Amino acid sequence: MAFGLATFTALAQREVTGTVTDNDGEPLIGVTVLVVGQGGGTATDFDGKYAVTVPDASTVLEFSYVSYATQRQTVGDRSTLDVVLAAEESLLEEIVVVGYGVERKSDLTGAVASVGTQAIQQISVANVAEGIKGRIPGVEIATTDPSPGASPNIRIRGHNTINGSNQPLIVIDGYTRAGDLQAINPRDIKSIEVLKDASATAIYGARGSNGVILITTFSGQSGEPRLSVSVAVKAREPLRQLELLDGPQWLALRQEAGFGVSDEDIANAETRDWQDLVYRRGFEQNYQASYSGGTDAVRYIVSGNYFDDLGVVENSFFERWSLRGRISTDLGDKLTFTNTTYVSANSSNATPRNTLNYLFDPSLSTSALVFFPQLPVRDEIGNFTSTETSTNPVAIATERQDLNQQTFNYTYSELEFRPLPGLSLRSTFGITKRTSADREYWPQTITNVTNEGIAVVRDGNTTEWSQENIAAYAGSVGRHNFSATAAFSQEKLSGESFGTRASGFATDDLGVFNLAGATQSVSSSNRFTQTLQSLLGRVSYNYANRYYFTASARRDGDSRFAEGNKWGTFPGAAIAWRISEEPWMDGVTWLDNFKLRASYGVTGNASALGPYESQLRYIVDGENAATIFNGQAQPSLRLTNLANPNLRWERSPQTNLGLDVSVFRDRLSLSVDVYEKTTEDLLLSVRLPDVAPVNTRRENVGSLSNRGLEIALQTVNFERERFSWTTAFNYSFNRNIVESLADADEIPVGPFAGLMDTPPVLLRVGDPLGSYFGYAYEGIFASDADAGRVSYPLISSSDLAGFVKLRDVNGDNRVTADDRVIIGNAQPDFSFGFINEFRVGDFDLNIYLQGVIGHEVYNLTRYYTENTNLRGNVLATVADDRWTAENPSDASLPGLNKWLPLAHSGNVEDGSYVKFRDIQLGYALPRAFGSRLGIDFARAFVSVQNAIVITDYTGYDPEVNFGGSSTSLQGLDLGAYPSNRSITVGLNADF
Amino acid sequence: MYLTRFPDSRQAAAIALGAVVAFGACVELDLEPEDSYGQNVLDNAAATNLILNNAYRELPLYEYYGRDFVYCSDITSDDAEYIPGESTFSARQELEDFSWTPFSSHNVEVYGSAYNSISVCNRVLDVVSEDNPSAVGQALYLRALNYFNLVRMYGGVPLLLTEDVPIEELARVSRASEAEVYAQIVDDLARLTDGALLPERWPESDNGRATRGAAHALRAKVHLTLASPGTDVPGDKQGHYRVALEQARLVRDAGTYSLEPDLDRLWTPDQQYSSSEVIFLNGTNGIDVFVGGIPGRYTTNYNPIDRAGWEFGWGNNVPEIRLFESFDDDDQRKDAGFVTYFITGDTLEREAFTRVGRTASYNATGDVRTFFPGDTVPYTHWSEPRIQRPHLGKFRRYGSASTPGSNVDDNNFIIFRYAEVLLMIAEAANELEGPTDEAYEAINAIRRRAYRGSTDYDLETGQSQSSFRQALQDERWKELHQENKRWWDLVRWGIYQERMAEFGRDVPAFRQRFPIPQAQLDQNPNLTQNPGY
Repeated sequence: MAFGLATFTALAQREVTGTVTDNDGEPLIGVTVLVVGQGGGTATDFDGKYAVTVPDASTVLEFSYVSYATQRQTVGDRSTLDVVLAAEESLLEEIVVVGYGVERKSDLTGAVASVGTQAIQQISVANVAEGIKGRIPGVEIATTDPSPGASPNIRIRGHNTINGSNQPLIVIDGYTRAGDLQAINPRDIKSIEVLKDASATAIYGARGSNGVILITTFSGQSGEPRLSVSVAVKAREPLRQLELLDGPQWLALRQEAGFGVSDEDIANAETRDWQDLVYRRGFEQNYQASYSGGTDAVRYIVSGNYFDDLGVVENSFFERWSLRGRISTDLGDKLTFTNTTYVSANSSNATPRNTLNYLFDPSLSTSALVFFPQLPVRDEIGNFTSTETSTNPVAIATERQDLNQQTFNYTYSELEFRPLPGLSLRSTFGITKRTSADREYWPQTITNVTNEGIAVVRDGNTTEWSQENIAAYAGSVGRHNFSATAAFSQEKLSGESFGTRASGFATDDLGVFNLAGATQSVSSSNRFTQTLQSLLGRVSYNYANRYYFTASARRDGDSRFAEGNKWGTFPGAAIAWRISEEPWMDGVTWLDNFKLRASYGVTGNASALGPYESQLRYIVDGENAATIFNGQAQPSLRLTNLANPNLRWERSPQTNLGLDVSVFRDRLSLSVDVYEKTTEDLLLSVRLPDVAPVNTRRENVGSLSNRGLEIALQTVNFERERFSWTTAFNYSFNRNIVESLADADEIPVGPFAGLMDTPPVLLRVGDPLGSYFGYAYEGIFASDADAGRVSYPLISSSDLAGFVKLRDVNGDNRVTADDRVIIGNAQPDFSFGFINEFRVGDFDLNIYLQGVIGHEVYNLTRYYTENTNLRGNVLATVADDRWTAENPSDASLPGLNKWLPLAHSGNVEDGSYVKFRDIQLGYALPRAFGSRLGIDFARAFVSVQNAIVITDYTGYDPEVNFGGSSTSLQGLDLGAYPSNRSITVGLNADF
Repeated sequence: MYLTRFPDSRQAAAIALGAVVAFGACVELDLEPEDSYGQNVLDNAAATNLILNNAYRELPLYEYYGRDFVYCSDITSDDAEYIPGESTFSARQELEDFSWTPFSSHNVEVYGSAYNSISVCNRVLDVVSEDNPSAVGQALYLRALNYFNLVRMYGGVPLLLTEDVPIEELARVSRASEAEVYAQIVDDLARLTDGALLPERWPESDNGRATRGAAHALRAKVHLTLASPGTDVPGDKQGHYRVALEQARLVRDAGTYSLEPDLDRLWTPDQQYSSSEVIFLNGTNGIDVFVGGIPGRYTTNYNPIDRAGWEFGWGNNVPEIRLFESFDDDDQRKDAGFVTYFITGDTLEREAFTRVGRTASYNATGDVRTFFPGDTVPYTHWSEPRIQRPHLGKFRRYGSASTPGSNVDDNNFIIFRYAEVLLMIAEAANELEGPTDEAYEAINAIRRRAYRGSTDYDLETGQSQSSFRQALQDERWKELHQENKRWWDLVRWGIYQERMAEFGRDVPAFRQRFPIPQAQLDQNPNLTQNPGY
């Protein structure tokens, strides 16, 4: 018997041949043919033919090819096995992830945008937010800080709150506490969905007002284990350096200005461009490997990543190690248990930014511009040189440290029970733990900041847990399709932090690890807990895939509010009509989809609120607030917050109208959305009368509105076997208006005391956020007689020549503070993305443009670097463009010693830009060739980021904001970290 | 279909576990702060004392004695001028030009700061009783001081004596009359000085808290102000002079205070807390806010804008040249009170090693030269007209924590010192009975200290009441200039317009009061503005 079997086996081992074609009968080249369970396999040749040896009749062959549905065939007794692979379901059949569930793309009723696997896998930057910038209309992603490890600002449909956060909610694999986009490697991401309208986000209730980004990561698939490796290295250089005066020019100008510089000094002057000394070529490495596979009952994936970014500023870096793992187990056919665990550790060194600390601002970028060019790095006795107005940039870059070490870990488990067909009961539990340790040290050598050393140590950690129970049912009766989801959700956040600031060290040798040696120190400690409880539900119904209706509601209770106002209800509803599915449209075969959508919903936000802001609180004053007796600090207890039990959620009702069209078998698809949303009950600080015990109190006052249009157009321009060309274009604009404010119609914003006469930004009812405020620049007075009858601030009417000329807006013949007007705005007229992908044989080329048009940048860096009073080095243009007695009329800058500290429109510039975000050329190893090497898939690419930047902006980069993620301070360029151009070389391979 | 099938009991266990997780503990939505205190902290006596500290904490801040309040009396008077530098600060320029408005920040900020301090006092007075007499005493003292500052600056103001007022009502409170505010101050101070609510001295670590002497001095000052011809509050002027004299004598006769023979010691920050001359001051420790502390900023406020970078300053409160010229060289107040040269290095050893050989890139003579510690250059050699002036010396020369180029020093601001008590005795005595021996003795004590004990400069005897008055007014100017005294003095004497006219400044009468801040009027329909604004 044993012999017989062996014989049979030997007989059964035979060759199977065949041809693999598509639906149209065209042969498919390079289809992977796998002998399931045996490990052997091959790939089809140029004629779509394959030959493979199979052990027996029960052998299963798997045919897989990108963008075609994988097929399995049992060999049986056939020796020829021809296979027709079906192209994967059309775009409309794609499944997209929505809040607490999934839907077919064709069934969507809200404004939901997706970025698919292919586009994500081509991202050549480490932060996925950078990678999807410009790809989704209505999603503005601004890299206001290009330093290593920084995350860009993401704004979905404008700014919705003034004091709170405008970042959208990020949900990774259903977990709302999975961190921001910086904590995920693009290689782990399978798809990204962006929920934009309120009907889609209302299911997230009080966290939905800024939109929601849903990330789905790869899971293991049952089958052969797969090893996937990717390597990318990147070199960067500053995008631009500003041209400054050289040593002799600078001293000559100083001489002219009466600073007492001798001719000999000028002749002997050296030149140092401090930008060259503190900026460098940056280098980034990104390595990732994942291993996945499984049986039918257990599926797993584990993915490790190492990322290291050395920034273009000396000593700036960000380094991260991370590991992501997921295992999914079926316990019988009704139960599935899934666990995802992510652990990461990163460290970074931050570059000091502008603090507006009067003249001695230790910002590296500002110092690199204004520090005197003739000075050496160190003086004769080896100390760093310094001047009274600026700090030696090399000293800052090399001596000062701001090391930050963080860990970010979570584990998220889900048990799904499917007791009946269509019914799913899920219970989830996740815990997220973050720790952060800052170690900042300013050594004594940076004499403008300190001559005794300053150490700042901060340690903090937070614990977040979330528990959700979700019941979902989907079913059909005839042409009635319906689904329902209900959930109960709870979250708890707690955190604590400890900080010490100390100074007065005998030496710098031990840096921050010398706290016991400090002569002065102040410590602080904080702790908070915050909880959220929610009930939510959604019902969806459609008739014959033609008429759609969805309604959802979420009720959120938050510990931050007082009894009676804890709970808020956030409803949403949408309808859609797929006209293309109407029977009377059957004849229109070229039309794949024509859908009209309308939705309304209300979402909330309370991110402006601290954990206990509705309660009366006394705090012990520590830092910079102690009371001094006998020269020594004594603690004091200060009333810091009055109870306000009336506080409630900010609410954002939003209406959305949308249209989806696709024609010619998805060769052209178009989505258009218009929306209007208003945020009411803004949580603003209201100034109380001076006779009140505290100065301000949080109240629900004020409102903001956003209206906009979004267009996304995708075309397949050309599609042949060896050549294809697709284009994606999107366009969006958003109009933001401050509808009302707390107690005034205007609020100046910006910590600019001492720098200029007025804060540069004004929040004003009727104007958009980010409006700049100041005098209107009209040039430079050519002569004293130029003034006419108008008198000007700070200058005598007999000595006008060479001073800045400002407009007398109200015509009262005096330029006064009343003549200040809105001189620009940070909000763009529109923005767009334009992406072309070409595929020629095994090569692909991706050209990715993104532009933001029609906004202004307030170039406050010029406020320093065009200061003709010459407190620090200035731009090279000052030499030619300043007023002089010899050249009175062509001047655009004031004469020497005639610069005035007035905010005016001369420093406001057009910030429009178009950037070639990425030009990427890839080559995929032919499968037939790769399979011989045991490689399932391999692609090498070279890509250039910011290859071309088209802008009239004169600073480093118009995509900038001194205010970081601030809502009210936008578009300010002040000592920005220089942005960069980079070239990336990478390789991805699957084994 | 499935390779593995688990027994149903395991499935059941898993479902049961899921259900436990699902319907387990609910989160609590009512949470109390974990790093701060609630209302019930007031039940704790020790906490009350810590709350009271906040009433002191307002005093040294920028918005009050730290800058704004002082500018309002110095720049506006014949003490000092504002000389704009690279930047013009409009609020300072307005004080200089007599064009301040209900929006001008310096005069606006004082209002809020005084009420912040009053609010803390009221909170303490609401909860403490006579079993914590020093808390009551300090709260009464600080409330009286703050109301005294308010009423002198703004006239009648809302008179709030308890914290137990809803916010909505605070937005409707009206101004009390000037007489009502003074009556409350007088009552509080009478309650304070007639009882034993404050100690004569505090333990050393509490130096800087209000003492019995401080209360007597303040009471003397309040009554002297009420008695003065420029104060338009009906009452028995002679009676007020008598209370003023009696209270000032109590300070003198207690023997606790005396004049510092050497003014250097008076203006040395770490000596001020224990100085025999200091009666009440605000407390700073010179620690930079970056580390945490209440830094004095007097050095930078008053120092010249120094292009060599050694003595970073704003040059905001530059002495009137006539004031400087009124001193003769033998008067130690000239040397202690004015800066007539620049210290190009820092005489402090602590600084020296980091500063040696630092290159300053320019100076008036046109050379780039290297300065060494202790180099001095007369102020007249400096190129910029705006710094070719003597600057205030009181706060600048001995600040031990002062870092050149930093915004911070450890100078305290002295609110009452014994010299003023003597001058109050001289003034009240002269107004009551003409120049008595007591009056001469008091004023001559000041002059002898100025001339280092010499009696050669004593005021000539045989003065008339009015010539003594003139001498006293000049002596106050010279002794107390730029110590936040002059504007109040000129106004209470009723000679503000006349005096400023001598300096060529035409000041309208309504500017003897500052305007109620516009923001307060906007928030409260029941508040009225002072005439003229």
